[in-house]
Amino acid sequence: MDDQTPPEAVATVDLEIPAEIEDVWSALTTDEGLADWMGANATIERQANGMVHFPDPVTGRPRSGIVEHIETDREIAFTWWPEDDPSDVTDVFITLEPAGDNTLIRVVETPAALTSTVASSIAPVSSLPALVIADWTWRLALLSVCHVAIYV
Amino acid sequence: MPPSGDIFAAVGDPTRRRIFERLTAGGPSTATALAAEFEITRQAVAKHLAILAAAGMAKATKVGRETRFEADATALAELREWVTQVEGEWADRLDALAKSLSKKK
Repeated sequence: MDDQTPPEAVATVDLEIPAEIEDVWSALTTDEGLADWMGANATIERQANGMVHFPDPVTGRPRSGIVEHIETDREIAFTWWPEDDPSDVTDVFITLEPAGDNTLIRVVETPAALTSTVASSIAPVSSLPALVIADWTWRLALLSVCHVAIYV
Repeated sequence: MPPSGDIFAAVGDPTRRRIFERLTAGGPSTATALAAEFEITRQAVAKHLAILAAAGMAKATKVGRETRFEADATALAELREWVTQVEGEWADRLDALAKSLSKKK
């Protein structure tokens, strides 16, 4: 990347996991599954507006959040923040796709304030039904367009 | 620590990104000249430049009666660091997720 080009404030990670999509989904959205990688005592209310709590051993900073969108075996989006700094709010979008016997998982994280801005800056204007993007399904669709535009 | 909201706001707007890229590639310019190039009002350009300056991405210099703006890329390092850090954290989380699933097989 040219050092003078402003990067998008979007972090993206893809990984192909040798497991079936139902098992990955369970690891993402059940307390038992989350305990194995997000820390013991991780909790999730598996519904829109449900609360999440992740001890997050990777950073050592427990996080809380709210589920914004959930579609079984396909995608989950939540807003979260470190409990020691609730002002650091970001949106996380996790999508799953089958890849043969494996599952492709994609995580996109962006500052919460930018979610609609980043997405709408990349999506074709003609595809925007309104300037106000309130629906999370629509925002997710825009983010996938955004991802393709940036990383392909 | 995440970068300040100023830099997220600065890079989140496509016109501001284009103005910044123009200042980087084409050298210093004024709000009036940029307004002509981008075919938007001088007031709109001035607002974008003020936001870029607040984020540490542009510097203003008075030259006679003109104010010239030049790009300052140093603030971008902070943003790149944030992206790299968050991607690294997710890579580690997903690695742990994959390991937890492989143990169950």
